[in-house]
Amino acid sequence: MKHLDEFEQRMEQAAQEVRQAAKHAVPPQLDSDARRALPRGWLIFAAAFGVVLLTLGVLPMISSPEDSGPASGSTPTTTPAIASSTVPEPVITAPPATTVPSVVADCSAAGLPMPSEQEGLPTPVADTRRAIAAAAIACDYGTLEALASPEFVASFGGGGFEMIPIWEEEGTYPALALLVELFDTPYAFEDYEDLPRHYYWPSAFVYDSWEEIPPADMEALLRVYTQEELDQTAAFGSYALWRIGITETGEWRFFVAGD
Amino acid sequence: MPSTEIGALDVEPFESFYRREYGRMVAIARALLRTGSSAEDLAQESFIAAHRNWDRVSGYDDPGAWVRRVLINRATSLHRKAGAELRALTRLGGHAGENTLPELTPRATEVWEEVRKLPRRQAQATVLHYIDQLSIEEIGEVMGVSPGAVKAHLHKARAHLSQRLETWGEETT
Repeated sequence: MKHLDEFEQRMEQAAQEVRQAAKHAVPPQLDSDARRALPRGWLIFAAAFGVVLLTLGVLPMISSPEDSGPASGSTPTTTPAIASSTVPEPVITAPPATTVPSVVADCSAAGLPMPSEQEGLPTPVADTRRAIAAAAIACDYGTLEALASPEFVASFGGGGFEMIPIWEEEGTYPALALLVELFDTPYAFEDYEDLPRHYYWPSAFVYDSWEEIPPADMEALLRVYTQEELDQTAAFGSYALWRIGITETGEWRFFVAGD
Repeated sequence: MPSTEIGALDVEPFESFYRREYGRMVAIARALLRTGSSAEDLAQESFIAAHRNWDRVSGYDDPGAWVRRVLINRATSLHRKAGAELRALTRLGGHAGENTLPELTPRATEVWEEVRKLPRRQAQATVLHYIDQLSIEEIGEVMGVSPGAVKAHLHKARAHLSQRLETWGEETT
């Protein structure tokens, strides 16, 4: 395909196909107000509990479309806030999460799930990690700035925290989404003579060469970057993309990319 | 993003908003995710988020832009999590992966697979432009970036995709 017109035609045909396919999607019936108030954690518990009951074959005996919802009793049901009227009680599950902030904000992280809890982190580090992720998902720059160390570095060109909202608003980098997604990659730490231990996300950052990064850690990077982006940084020789650093005392020191 | 409050009497009921916008959201999700079932589930999740916050979201000038924002953020994040997409959004109760949407042709599938390989901002802008047919300004509102940034993302995306399209031509002929 040599001409732009052909390219545009190809894109438009592909888009038309998707739009046509989506016309077959029937919006599931809206469920009751009582159900919409279910917090996510409760929904996950209800889903798990419902699966057990379904497995045991007892759910049909204790639940019907008319008496569902927490207001009907102490037994949680397995329906999501919006449930299909044509299929029996589908449940939308979510990745493991601690607290999912109420999503009413606008940024690249709005609506993202909280990163899973990670084992082995000191409590101050785990607390800071969780607080940063929650604030990012809530698009809460004020809280994020308060969490950042006074020496926080966001750019080797001298930029501090102020760079993050600028990148977001200018569309340069989806900084808040990157924060949340990087926290869902494996971490590593390094000890220094004159500094507190530092914890890093992703773990790939601590390896001196690209070849040393374990396959599992490399796989985790694909949750954040495209293969092409990783190929480009591989040519550099070591991981030089975005990383987050938190000290063992829970101080958020940097969110930076480059060398 | 628009945030102008409107009078309470003018607020659209969630249900009519939901029914009107559902198909468009599924289409956006379908282009950004690999399977139709994931697309429908993701669209539902995004509407659930809007439903929970409707008191506030309905006050925006364009609640649809907000839902699109949540949806594209989740979609590109989910897509990156190879394999996690189905785990995260699988329907339980014997309906895992049920797909009510027609399959796309191989030619269309190839296009959207390439789009999903783009950096996330480029992929989002491309889908909002071609699938949802939004203007540059509207895409900027959804993505929370300037019109200039949208143009830059679309320009890069087109350059990359048109190169790939040449390759496809060679591969398929």
